[in-house]
Amino acid sequence: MMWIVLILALAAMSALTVIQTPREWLKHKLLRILLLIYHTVGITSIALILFAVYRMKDGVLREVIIWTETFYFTLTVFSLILSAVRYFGFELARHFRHRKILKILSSQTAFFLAAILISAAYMVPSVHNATTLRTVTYDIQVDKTCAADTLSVAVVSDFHIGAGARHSEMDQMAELIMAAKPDVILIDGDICDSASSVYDLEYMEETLNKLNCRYGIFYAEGNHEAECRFNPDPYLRRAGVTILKDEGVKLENGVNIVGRKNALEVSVEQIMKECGLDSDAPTVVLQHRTKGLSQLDGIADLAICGHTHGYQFPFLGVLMPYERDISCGHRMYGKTHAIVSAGVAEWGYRTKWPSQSDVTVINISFKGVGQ
Amino acid sequence: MTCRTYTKKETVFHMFYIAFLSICGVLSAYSAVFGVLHICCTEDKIALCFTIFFALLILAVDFFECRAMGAQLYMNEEGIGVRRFGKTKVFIKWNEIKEVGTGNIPTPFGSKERVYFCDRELDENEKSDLIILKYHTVHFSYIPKEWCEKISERLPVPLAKEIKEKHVR
Repeated sequence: MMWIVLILALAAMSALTVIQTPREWLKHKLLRILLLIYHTVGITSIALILFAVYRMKDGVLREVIIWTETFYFTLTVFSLILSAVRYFGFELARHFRHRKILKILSSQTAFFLAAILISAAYMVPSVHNATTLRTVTYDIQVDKTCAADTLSVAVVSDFHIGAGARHSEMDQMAELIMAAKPDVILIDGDICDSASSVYDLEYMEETLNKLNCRYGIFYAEGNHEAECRFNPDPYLRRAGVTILKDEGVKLENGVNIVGRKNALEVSVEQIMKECGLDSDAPTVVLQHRTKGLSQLDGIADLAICGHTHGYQFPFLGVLMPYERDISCGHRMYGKTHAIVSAGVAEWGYRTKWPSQSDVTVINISFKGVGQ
Repeated sequence: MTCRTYTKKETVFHMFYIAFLSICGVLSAYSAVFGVLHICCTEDKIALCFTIFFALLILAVDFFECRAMGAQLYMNEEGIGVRRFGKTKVFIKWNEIKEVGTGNIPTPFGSKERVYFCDRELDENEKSDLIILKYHTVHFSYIPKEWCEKISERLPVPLAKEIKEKHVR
């Protein structure tokens, strides 16, 4: 479904770009041929990601397809934005009768050069951010007692393994987690999507098998798992991951870990009640989407989310009020801490800016050592 | 006497375009306000700048579209001109007109041919770029069919056959 939305958005953007392109430019045969090739290659790469990539192993061909799609998306979006800027500049220059600016804005060479330069300038840091993981650390205080006075939590989310995270990014993730030496590892959904192959899931299992920590690895599902062509659960189980689908567990130190399904239909209170968890104990809620966080005040001490990928694209801030409560970082909802991981990888296109792919480490300090 | 500058087909297309831009503009302006109130990290601040830029850009394009849509061709006993939102923007008196011809004007969608009414005879360079003629020229994208007769009566110079064939709709 998300892919269909992406294709429609790209088609709409392409149509708008054509509408805003001066008719004289399109009279050039060479330009028409180049545009035809450009859109054919771009749309073919999207189609291949949709229908063929899930059969492929991590290799050169898959990389070529994914990077072609990434470049197509970036150049198309920036061309559209530049078209709007050009339109606005044109009207201003016409109003002030500035011939020099009008001449520059009428030049197709200037337009295409600017679109390519802006896209390239955007792609340099964004490809780095997408492919190089960093560790982001938060130190938080929870006003409850626990069997240990601290708990170190490593959070990873949004692998989108295959078209998103390559095997090299999975290796980076494992290295960063092991370097952080966490007590517990939480996986916050979207580990795979429609482009993930069996080989990718096997590699994910292998990677997760390498990880070890005191209290174990826990997982809550995301929205893309429903699109996976292969069920990821057996791979997770074989890697020793505890799957929490509207379920909760109590760690040896007394901390509750509650994992919610992507739909967020069942309340945390109900899950805790059904699983016999003590509501006075420190509670960590693992949910994929950043919705309904204010309702967790007084119920959870820490809510961990993924889904947003931070800001995978700078203009995604426009979606803020409609799709998410919070995009990145740490925010308080009453007494509840909410932390959003920027994710290990990306979805749709392999660029990320201003956010960077990360492994989130949360050091929780408790009020004191209790039972 | 007034007449819209767009044809019916253009009006419908631009109405949809304006509606689409208005919805996008309002939604993104709301996103910008929401973003200001929900800053959690540096990335939020960077993204907010892009959201504000996006909202302003969309609203600006929307404004210019509305402005173009609000333009009307205007004619009375004294002369001929262009009105925008009921206000006369350019006007030339009948007795001042020395030449009626066709020239080009740059638009965001490419160079467009226009019919101009001018108080002097223009050279080829001026005709190729009507935008430089600030006060002395009124230019229309077309001449309304029902105005043609009256214009011909009032003009001190004849309306060329070529203009009548090509630009009277």
